[in-house]
Amino acid sequence: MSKQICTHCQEYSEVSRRTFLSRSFQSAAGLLLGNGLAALPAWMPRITLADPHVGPAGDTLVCIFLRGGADGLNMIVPHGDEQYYAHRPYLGIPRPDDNKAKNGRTLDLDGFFGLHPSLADLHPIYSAGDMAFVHATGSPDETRSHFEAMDLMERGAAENGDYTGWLSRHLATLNTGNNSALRAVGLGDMLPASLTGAVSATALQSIAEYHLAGQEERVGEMTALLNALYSQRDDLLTGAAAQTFASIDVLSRIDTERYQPSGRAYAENEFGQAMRVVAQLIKADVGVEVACVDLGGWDTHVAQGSVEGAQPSLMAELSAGLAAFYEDLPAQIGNVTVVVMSEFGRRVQENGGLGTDHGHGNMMMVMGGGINGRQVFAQWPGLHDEQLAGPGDLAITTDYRDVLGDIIAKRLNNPKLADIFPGYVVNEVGVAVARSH
Amino acid sequence: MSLSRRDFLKLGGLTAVAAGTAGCSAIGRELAQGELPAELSLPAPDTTGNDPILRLLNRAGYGPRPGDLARARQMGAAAWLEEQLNPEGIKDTAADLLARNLTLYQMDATQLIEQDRKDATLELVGSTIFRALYSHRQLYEAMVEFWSDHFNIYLRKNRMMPLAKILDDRDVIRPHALGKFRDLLGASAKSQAMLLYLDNARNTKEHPNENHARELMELHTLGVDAGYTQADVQEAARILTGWTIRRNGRQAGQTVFQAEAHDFGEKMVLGQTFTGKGEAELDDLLEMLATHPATAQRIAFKLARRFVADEPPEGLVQRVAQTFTETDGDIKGMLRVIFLSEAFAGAPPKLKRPYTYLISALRALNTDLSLSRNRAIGRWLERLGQLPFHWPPPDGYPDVAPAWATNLLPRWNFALALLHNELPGATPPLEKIVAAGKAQTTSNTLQLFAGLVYGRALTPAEEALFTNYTGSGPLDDPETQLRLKDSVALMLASPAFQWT
Repeated sequence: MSKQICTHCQEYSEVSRRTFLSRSFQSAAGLLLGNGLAALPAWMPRITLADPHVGPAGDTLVCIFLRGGADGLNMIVPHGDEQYYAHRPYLGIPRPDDNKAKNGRTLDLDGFFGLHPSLADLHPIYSAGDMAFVHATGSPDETRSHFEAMDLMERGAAENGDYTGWLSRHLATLNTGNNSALRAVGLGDMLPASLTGAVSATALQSIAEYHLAGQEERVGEMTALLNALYSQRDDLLTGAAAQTFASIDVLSRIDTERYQPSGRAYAENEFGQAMRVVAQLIKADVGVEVACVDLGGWDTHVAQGSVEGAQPSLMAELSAGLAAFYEDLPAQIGNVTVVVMSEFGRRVQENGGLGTDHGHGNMMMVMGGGINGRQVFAQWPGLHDEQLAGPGDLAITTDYRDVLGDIIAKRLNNPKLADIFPGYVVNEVGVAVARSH
Repeated sequence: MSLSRRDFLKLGGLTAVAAGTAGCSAIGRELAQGELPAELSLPAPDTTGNDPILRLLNRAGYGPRPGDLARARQMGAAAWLEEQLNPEGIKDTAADLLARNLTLYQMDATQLIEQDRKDATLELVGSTIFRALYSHRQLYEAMVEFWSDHFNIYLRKNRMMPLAKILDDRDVIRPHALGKFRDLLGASAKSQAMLLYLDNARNTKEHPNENHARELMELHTLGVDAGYTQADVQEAARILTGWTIRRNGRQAGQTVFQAEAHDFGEKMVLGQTFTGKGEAELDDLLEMLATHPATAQRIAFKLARRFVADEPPEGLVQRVAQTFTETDGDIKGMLRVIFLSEAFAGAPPKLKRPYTYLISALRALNTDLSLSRNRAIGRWLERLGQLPFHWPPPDGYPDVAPAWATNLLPRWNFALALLHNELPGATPPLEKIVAAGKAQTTSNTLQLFAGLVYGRALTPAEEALFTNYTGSGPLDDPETQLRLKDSVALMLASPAFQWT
């Protein structure tokens, strides 16, 4: 193939697989607070919430963030809304009963919504009652800026001010008696902003490689020396180093070599391998309460693909990873809740580059053994022009905090929703089933 | 997940660079190790805990090589800075030789787009690392990195990107890195790499795409809180319609304004009317954005954050912003204000970003990087989290400590790999250093390396810890040698080498 610049053909479909991480230069991501640090610099977030709730840990929460603004309209397709097809003559996913569609069509969920064919792996989980979707959801952010939107969503606040993440505040307001260094993990080389300020959180790329290199007979002494050097100071890295040593200690007890997933093999891509690590941590029972995984590349301004293409291949990666994870944890899934979210949805009207611009409302996915599955939770706002928000976007009828708050209260045993989402009164959407204890 | 399984760009060779620079690592060796001072003296203790020359070399560049500190101390901070602000006056044989030996960098756009993108990635990333490591124009290279973040380009966005980024590096970032912001902005806005990365190549009257317009305002100039609206973004996008890349013909690969794809209607951005005059509208828009007070504020803040503190003092930011306004965005002028400020003289610790950490470790030990053989550096940079030009979103690699603090383990393991010769093509010349320092004992040896790594003698507490680890055996004892290597690695891994 000639190497001329081709801005509309396949060359554009090579969408980022590397995580589209949120790092506004103003956002303070992945901050660790060492226990008992006395003098913190002024810019460091501090979580000072009185009287955490004392109680047992609930589900392990796996939080998957689709970076870049995933086009939820083409994932959980409103095939019952003819306006969807009017806005998307090329990108629209054919109706479930469209016999002329040769390459694939929507898999019906409830007569109105359906799954993109590249999400087919999720259909059996949905049918088994362990998966639900929420639509026309999102955050009230109006900037349509990736960085602002991710920042606000991950901090769980509607406005600037509190630089801690919603997951950090969840962990800080729930005393489960769990002192594990791996109480919260972020897969990758950075922690997501939702874990900013978490007392105990580890960025983890691989279990097997998470140890100090060097010759085995001297590693113990080296660790002691390094530990002493970091302990001599009192700064941001002091706690980070302590956390690292503690995580090394825990992870050294997990045998990754002989790990065999219970279901299908995990794909050899970054997301599949990240889900494999999360599953291993859950099975190893090392105290993980929260795990964050990113999947990037969703900023599909051009050549998004309809049934096939850039976004569908990302969807396939997502659904294969979720399905492998689900199959891997048959005994544990009753104590696991997975939530999939993105910073915003995309413009309803496809653009001239056969892509979509930054939008507003979006879908969320919830998977686990303790949810009201086999349902799409949506107060559908409609897609007529006058029903759209801003420059032509899906309106939001369910705040994303109503979904997360529902899960936190019912599955994570944490009633402190007002501390986790300050200034917001959660109206639980009903996707989660209250745990028996 | 195992790193070897990750879908890496196979920096598995910085080899393309080497292809064009077969002689370069030899040259580098000659220039660099040749520069190892014949004699290295043991360092003095740092009595104040505040060494402004060391801070200058660490932040306005990639850290001192052996001998650099002594030279800079002799010159004084102001003279060193002035020299660095005029890079064309600095003799820089290694960088010049590299530049002459790069192949893709010599090509025009039309030739370049016919080349292999993998070669382009290797040449781009490899030459960037090479320059950071060897060039004497350290501040210039640091500013190239700064603007490469500000005008971020992600190489894996599509197949053209590595080729287009070579043009962007050569024709946009490097010519203007110490010039005027307006020129840099203008070049970037019309850069092939930017037009492709932010999808403007497909932004037409019929089908507007607002990606470039949004990031131009949000990231390149005004900042998200400057008070513009979604409507402003859409109007700016209309101004940008028609700016694309020529697809074929004799000028293929060049930026072109296609009048037939341009929206000639009237636009209004931030209250200013733009009449439909075509090509010149973009210059008018850029002029307005470049001279907007919010832009001066934003650039000043980012520079102060980069070089002074994660949360820079407001007074300094205002002075830099004022300099921006008074000098028409003169980058040198702003840097002068920053580095000569009291805020810099008393700046709090700043965490090295991973790329700076890696390069400064190589520099501290006068380590040569044989680009032709080194397959490990790119993988380490990925593990550390900062392989140049591989940050997907348009905001550039983060510049605050919390973003990087949770990934310490790869830093530690990189240091151990470096000292134990597990980085093929990057072997620190330890014996030469020991010889130049005439170190006879483990204690002398530890202090000698502390001078190179920390720029000061070990504190008594550090000395006690390291001496306890190495023991006091003879220097020719294999176990002692291993423990000395561990010790130097742990100096690089220690917090004192993470902060500047």
